[in-house]
Amino acid sequence: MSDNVTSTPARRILLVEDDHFLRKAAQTSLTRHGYHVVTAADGEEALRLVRTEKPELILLDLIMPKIQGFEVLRTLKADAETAAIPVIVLSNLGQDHDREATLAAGAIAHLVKANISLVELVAEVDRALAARA
Amino acid sequence: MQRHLSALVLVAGMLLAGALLAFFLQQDVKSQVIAQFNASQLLIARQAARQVESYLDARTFDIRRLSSLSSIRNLDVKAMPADVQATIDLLKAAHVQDISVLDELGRVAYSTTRGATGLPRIGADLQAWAREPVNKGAVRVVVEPPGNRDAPAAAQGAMGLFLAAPLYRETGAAGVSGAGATFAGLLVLTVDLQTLVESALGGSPAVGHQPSRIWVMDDGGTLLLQSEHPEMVAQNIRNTSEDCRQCHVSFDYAQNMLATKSGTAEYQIKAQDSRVAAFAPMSFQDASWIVVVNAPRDDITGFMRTTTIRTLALLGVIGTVVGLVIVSIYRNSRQEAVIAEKAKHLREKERLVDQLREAGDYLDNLFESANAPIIVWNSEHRITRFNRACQRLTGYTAAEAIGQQLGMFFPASSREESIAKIVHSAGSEDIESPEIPILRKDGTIRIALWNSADIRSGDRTAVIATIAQGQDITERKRAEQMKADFVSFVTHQLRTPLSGIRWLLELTGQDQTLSADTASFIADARAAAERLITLVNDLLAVSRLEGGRLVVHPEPLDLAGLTTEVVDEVTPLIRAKNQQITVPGAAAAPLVHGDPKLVREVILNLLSNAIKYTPPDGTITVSVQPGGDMVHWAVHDTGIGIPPASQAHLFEKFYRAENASVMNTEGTGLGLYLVRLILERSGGRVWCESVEGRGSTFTFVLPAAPAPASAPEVARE
Repeated sequence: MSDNVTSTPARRILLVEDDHFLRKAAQTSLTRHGYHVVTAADGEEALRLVRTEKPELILLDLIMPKIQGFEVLRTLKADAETAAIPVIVLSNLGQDHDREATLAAGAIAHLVKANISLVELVAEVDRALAARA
Repeated sequence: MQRHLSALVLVAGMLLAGALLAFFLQQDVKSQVIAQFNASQLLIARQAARQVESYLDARTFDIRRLSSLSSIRNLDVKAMPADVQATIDLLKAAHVQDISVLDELGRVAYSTTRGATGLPRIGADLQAWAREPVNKGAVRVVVEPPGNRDAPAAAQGAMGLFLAAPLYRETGAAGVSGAGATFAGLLVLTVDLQTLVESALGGSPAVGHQPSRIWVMDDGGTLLLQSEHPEMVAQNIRNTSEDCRQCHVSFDYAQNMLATKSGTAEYQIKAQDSRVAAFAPMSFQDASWIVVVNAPRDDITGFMRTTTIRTLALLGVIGTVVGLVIVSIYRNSRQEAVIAEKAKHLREKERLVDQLREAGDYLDNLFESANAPIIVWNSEHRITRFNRACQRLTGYTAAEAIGQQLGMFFPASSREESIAKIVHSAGSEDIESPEIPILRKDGTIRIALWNSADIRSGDRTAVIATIAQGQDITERKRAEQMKADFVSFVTHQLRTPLSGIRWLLELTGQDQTLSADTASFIADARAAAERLITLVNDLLAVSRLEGGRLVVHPEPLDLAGLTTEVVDEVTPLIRAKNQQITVPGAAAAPLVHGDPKLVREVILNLLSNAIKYTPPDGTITVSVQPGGDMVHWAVHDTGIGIPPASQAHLFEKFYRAENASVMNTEGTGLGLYLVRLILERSGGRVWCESVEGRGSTFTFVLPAAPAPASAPEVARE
């Protein structure tokens, strides 16, 4: 099993985050854990990269320039080509209605950035991809 | 119509009364006038009698004087002195028609009118009387029927009236009187009786247009003068035939006159010829006469009649006028009384109406001036009242709203729901006012809370109307939304850099090459960042709880199980301080009714506090027990306890107990406040008992979950 992990090409994750520091921290942490992390700083870029990079998982911020995370999520789920890609919302909006809205729109999880550590984030990603595998 | 008729009858009555009054007045006046007239006629008659008497006296004097004159008694008319002639001239002007001197044989010796042949025949008795020497110097009055003499035509209406004196011629020695006198003849004055009496009456007295008729009769009833009917002269009125009574004085009256000699008598000759005869006695020497002034009373009655008619007419007119005035006054007074009565009723009505109006105005003013929108609709949901505040709220005028359906004020999307809510609220005893969006005339939406109440009919069976009072909370909602938006915004904006700090510190801490000091600095910085994040999270939670925007999702909840989970979570902290913790066994208490996430937050908060404020090696005991409808959860520690002064403020926002810093622990001052807010929102409450230095017990209660009917049996199986 561990052999497979090393020999298998790194799993591709799209990290959509407009904040430079957070993007850097999350990307670093996930990369250290063996993921191939593609980053997008806004919704527009995210939608473009989804089609070119074909990620296995998307970590999606909500409040962003150009196209908001909700819009991106809806667009992804409306498109048959991208609808199957699991999306974990990673935002600092964490109220019940925010959470309900994203889960209803098709996200598999809604994480509040301030309330989780990077370790926890990586664990969530592992869990999500393991469930998909 | 009837009123006019009765007025006519009244006027007629007044006329009749006026006429009757006038008639009786007139009768009275008439009798008085007649009495007055009769009296005046009587006076005239008496005066005439006295005049005739004094005239005869005067003529007696005259004839005596003349008869004493020598030229006259000697029948020597040629030697008649001038003064005798003057006296004769004077007498001629005083009703004396003729002065004659007769000789002893009765032959005319001298006459002023007739010459020697025209003398009246003097009766033998007069001659005899004159020859008696005793009658020398006497004067005698004689009346003779016209037929007895050659009377002049002028004297046809009356008997001849003569004054005679004997004449004695002087004989013997001169100067001896009487003894030697011899009868020489008579001196006779012929008096015009008619003009004498007429003159005595002062001409021909007349009332009206007819002259009075004058009679003179002697006391035997023989007429000496009858100015109206000269043929009657010398006849006796007692001998008038029945036929003649038609045209003359009646027998009875004649008898009466002759008997009483003075007075008045009324009689009627023909139907239209009533008369008044006033009669008075006259006497001269042995003659005794009655002078009668006979006045037609037709004149006076005619005058009276005319006067009566005029008076009647006048009185009739006056009566009519008075009657009309009285009628109008009466009617006016009647009408005034009716009007006054009506006015009184009207005033009373007006007073009541005023009172009602005042009461109505008062209610209207209250209704209209109320700051809150008030609307009333009937059982068909048609609007019947709509106050000014409602007009401000909706933008519709009262005229536009009244009569319309209630539904017009709700947006189409929520119309049915809104009507149902507001109608249900009116009929129910819910204190909660439904929050209903209102569609304004300009298309904008406002949010209002509505308190409504049904207005029932008198017997309380039927709802006849519903009144609702609104409270426009649009601005409040907007402010709340803004606050919420603001809190969300701030939270997000704070959380993002804080997340960055936290994650970057976490990454840095993973570097195995760091010195021990640096690693501990980074761990501290990371703890500070996490504490800041907690503070922000607590602020956000408080804001949401205070704003009522945190929705509680209660469900049956196992408090003991939840406690165990939380204890597992905090076990590292307990171990670190070497504390002992006791937790309740499974199924120690019935389920509660609560929101798992929020109750978990409460338990975590209270356990964390117990761990934090209990020194190492201390003991923490958690218990869960049923208590009636509620379930009690308590955590007891052997910590520092809480000063009594602080206990009352423990659950206030940002409050930290005075001795909290003793433990060198961090706190936001929001934890217990959040616990209180959550429990209050969940239908429970929290309190604290503590002895400073010995320990504290924090207890909260939550309502027990309603048990399903079949639950016990399921549990047994």
